[in-house]
Amino acid sequence: MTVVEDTQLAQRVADDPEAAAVFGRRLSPRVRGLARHLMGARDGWEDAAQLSLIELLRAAPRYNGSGSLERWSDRITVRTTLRFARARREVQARQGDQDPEHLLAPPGADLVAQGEVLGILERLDPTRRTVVVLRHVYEYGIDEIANLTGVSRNTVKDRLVQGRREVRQHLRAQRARPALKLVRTGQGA
Amino acid sequence: MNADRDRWADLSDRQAAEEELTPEELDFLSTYPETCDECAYERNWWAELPELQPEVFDGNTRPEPSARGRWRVPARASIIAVATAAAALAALWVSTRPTMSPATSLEARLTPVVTTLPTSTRRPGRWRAVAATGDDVAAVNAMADTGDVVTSRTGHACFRHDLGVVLCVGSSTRATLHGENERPWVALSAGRAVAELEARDLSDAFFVQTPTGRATALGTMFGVEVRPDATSVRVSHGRVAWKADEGGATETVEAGQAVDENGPRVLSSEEMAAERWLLRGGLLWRGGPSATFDLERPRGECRAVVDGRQFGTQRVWLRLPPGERVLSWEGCDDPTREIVRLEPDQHVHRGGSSEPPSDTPAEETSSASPAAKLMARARAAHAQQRLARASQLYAELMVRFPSSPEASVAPLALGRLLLQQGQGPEALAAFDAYLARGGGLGMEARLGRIQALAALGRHEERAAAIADFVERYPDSRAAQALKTDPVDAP
Repeated sequence: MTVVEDTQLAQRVADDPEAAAVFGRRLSPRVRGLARHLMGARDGWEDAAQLSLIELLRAAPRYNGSGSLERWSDRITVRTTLRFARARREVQARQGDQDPEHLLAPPGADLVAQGEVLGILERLDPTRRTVVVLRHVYEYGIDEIANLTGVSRNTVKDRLVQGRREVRQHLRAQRARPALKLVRTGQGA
Repeated sequence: MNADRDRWADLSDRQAAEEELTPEELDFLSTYPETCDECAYERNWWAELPELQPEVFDGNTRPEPSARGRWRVPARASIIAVATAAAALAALWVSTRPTMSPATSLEARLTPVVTTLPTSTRRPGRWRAVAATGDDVAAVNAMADTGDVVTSRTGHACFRHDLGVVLCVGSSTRATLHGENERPWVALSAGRAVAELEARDLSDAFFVQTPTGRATALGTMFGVEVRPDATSVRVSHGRVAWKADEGGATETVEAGQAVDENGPRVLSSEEMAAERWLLRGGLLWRGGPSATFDLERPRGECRAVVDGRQFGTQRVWLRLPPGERVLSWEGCDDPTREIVRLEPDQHVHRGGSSEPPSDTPAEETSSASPAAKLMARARAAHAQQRLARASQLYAELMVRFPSSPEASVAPLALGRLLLQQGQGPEALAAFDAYLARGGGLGMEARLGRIQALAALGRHEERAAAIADFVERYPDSRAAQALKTDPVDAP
């Protein structure tokens, strides 16, 4: 589908239910994937994805085709999801029922539980995971990530390198103890 | 050793952070993993991550239809789409029997500037050259009569019969074209040929015979390879009935299967990719007025790309419908792009000593490896739902850079794409290929495999695959969903 056709599609979303359905089906897998990767396996990512999809449908008429529909969708999804995560963290911190530092991280997520790759990503510190996911899963550049997450370029680079080091540690441990893949302790998420 | 390993890790981090590296550092970064398994493992791990983009498993193992709905753009001649639409309408015979009509010996040979035969002289029921590559092969740009012989050396050549058969022969191949005003067939003496059949009357049978037997194909895309010691038949779409000359029983080779001297086996995604790659130039023209392109790379390792189809770094000759064509040169230091308007019967030459106009795509200027660039383009096409284009790029990646980390994950990406297009057998073969090679996304590949089996209605195998999945990833969300999945449902 060309950018022109994407633009036409987006502009008809408000008035044409079929266009809205096509639009939603097209973007939904990407939105859900991105929300899930940003929030981790913890409950709440589906809410973030739903909010993002609603936001995308609202914003559709403003899509002007200056970039791909997917990249435009990512921008809205990242911002909506991070905003949702922050709000959720604040509410739960006020309620005192959870350590706000861990609201984005699944407690005890193990490598077996989610498959090796997802398991490693979900073990990362949340701010680092956001950068690693945007850089390596969604292949955004450093400047784009800085723009998406509202932090400086240097902060993005620092979080990326720290995140990669975390991943490296997990990979080395995984390779050193392959039998761990088969061990279930019952302590996982 | 650890110092080198740490240096590699540091450079890898710096590259990810978009810091500038010296040529020596880049060289170390790309070559050191050959001696460091740990580094190669990590490099591959990172290379696979983009495959996680769209995946959130919601418990549905049955493939969804394309999300493009009525907004779908009518696809340009797409290898996959055309092949699917034309399924089971014809059969092909490639024969090696020496009792053919006397050959008029029309040998494929290098013709630096290929002349164009006026389309008004075209008669039905004959072969015409439609594409060729290679430094020592241009094209046979004329009518081919019964018994004409085509010999390719380093490149490939494609021919189209008016009754709707496209045949491409690979390098080191010798074939005899038959079918003047009759059903088309081809005698393959040596080498490799791939055929795609358009919609044809089933009664107008087309079949395949090799030195060791006959393959009567009811499929639209299949390949035959004749080697000194054996013959193999590979079926990408449709079915082929294979019967050995020695009088053995007829075996049916289904889509996604191959049969050779060792009997039937699963067709690997690499083999399917190679078949598509060979056919890529043969499907651009489907009869009617035509014009021709003769493309020589201007310099370095540039490869020609016409309307998004890549043709490698060899010289390329193509027959195309008249109209606007996008010609670009990619993979070199100064990629370019131009729009060429082709008039009927016009011959256009580009490249060689001539300088194509400059129009550098931004994405070609990065320092990423050629395989990474190709993968990026494939993923971009996939994300934009340009599925035929993405499929072509994944296939090209696997063929051109088979040992790259990107190629190792390409079968998984290709499997998902094929599944999206409803091509269950091919998708299944792709997922199996990924799992056989191994990689970090085994869970995702196994989910894809379950979906492919569901699409094919192979419920018992799907149930077994689900059981295996649940055992391997017992606490995953996918396993939880699969446990409640009605495995026997159609």
